[in-house]
Amino acid sequence: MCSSAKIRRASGWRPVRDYTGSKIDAAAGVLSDRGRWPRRAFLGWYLASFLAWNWVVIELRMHRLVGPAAPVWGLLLWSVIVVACALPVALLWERRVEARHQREISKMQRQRQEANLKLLVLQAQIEPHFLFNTLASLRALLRQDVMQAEAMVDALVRHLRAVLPRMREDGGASTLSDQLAICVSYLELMVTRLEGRFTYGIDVPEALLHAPFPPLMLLTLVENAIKHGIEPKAGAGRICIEARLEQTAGRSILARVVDDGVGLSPGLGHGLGLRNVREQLALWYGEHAVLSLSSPPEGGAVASIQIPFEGVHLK
Amino acid sequence: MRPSALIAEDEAPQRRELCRLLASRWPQLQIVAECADGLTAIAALQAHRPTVAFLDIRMAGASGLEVAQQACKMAHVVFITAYEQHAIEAFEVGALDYLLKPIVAERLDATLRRLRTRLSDTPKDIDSIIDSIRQGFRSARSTDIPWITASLGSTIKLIATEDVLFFQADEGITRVVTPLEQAIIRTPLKDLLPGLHPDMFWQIHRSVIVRVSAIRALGRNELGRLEIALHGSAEILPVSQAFQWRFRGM
Repeated sequence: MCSSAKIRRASGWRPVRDYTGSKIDAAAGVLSDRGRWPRRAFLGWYLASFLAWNWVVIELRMHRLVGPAAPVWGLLLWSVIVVACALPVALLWERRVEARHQREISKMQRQRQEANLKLLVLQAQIEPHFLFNTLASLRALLRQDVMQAEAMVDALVRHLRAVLPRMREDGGASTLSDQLAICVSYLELMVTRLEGRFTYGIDVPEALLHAPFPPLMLLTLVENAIKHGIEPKAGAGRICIEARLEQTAGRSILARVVDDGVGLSPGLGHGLGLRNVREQLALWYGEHAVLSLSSPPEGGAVASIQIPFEGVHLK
Repeated sequence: MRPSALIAEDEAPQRRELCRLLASRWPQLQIVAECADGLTAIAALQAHRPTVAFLDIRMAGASGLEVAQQACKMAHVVFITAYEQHAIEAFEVGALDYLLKPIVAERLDATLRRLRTRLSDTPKDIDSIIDSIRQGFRSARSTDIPWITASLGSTIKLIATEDVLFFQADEGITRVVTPLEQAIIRTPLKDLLPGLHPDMFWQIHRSVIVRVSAIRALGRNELGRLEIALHGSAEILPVSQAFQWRFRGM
């Protein structure tokens, strides 16, 4: 038994099987190929019958059963027969294949829309734990500090107003400033609940405020920063939401949530919120969006979403 | 002897409110510790040995459930939760005391009445019930690990599991390799394996787990041993005898 797997570069290596054409590629190939099938079949039928007809004519001429003009007449007759019989069949067939193709495409589109809607509904839900905890804090504050309680009701109302209507809108309509408003109402609530254990700042250039930005993703990053960075930290913390325009490889928006909390610890993560964000980004932008989360050496955590500017890939 | 209580709740307004409620509903109860996180609560438990412990479930440091396991047999535990459906069901089944947030006076009165009658008894052993609740929390989360938090030099980075090409164990550390970078975790492969989807990741060697969709080709080296090549990496991974069955019939 060899001790440990030694990894080497490719050398003296003989392939046995190649999996380069993956399942997905094959499926896409079949799908795009199907429309051409009837044409190919028609061409095949045309050629085969042409050869067969020529052979018959040559045989007949050799046995002098027909006159010298027969091949010309025969060619005409043959064309008429082929076109009359095969063309309508091929056209009908093509139409049927085309229709099936269309059905598949619209089915895929429907599935995509459903997935989109499901994620949207999922995200628009107010987490019950958050709501009940906020109400518990509010109830406590009613006696302790009426002004604070009032501020909290206002912040809660702002937050609910910002989050709830998202379900009715289509996702593409949301802008970065909408998303920042949601984050701010949430942060205001948390500042009250955690009694000023953290402060926050927003640093977003004016020009980016009206750029399309997918709903509730930024909020997930902010919630994470509070839950995993600020809350476990002893002492005061700070969260900063930043956005800027990146010019590398086509213009894109880089939105970051930076906190000086306890940071990430190595191991296995179960972040379902982040998984949702990742899935949604893939659904909307494919390869063109990046979600990343890291802890720099100086501590804290940086979560970022990079999406194409002006939502060029947004569907 | 006057009964004493510990309160662990990470949000200050709620903590103060509970103190106020307790002071008005049970004046004899002496509040010996008010803790804002789980770790302080564990320390305070050892220091003050209170008769009753009011523990919020979701707290930084250590969860209320973890604190309760430390408090076991020492104090009567009352859990406080905003919305942990699974835990609430388990509390009902195990006849454990719990309060729902926001805490309402009538419910608190009922809990305090029960506590008073039990004060002279030794606290119930709730270790196994809590174990099963924590188990439930773990399985309520999806069993697949969506993220790996790995070190890249002095930076720690979150890597999506589906981006990983392969994991390779080497002398106590595990290399996590993606098309863009390679990072390091301290989780051994055997702990990693249960969290990976069995159709997405295959173990192909005692020290290698590979993402199936990253496999580009299967080959043999000069010695006739099976190896695989990957999409997105020039590295060649060995397939040991014991795992060759995976590639039969592919």
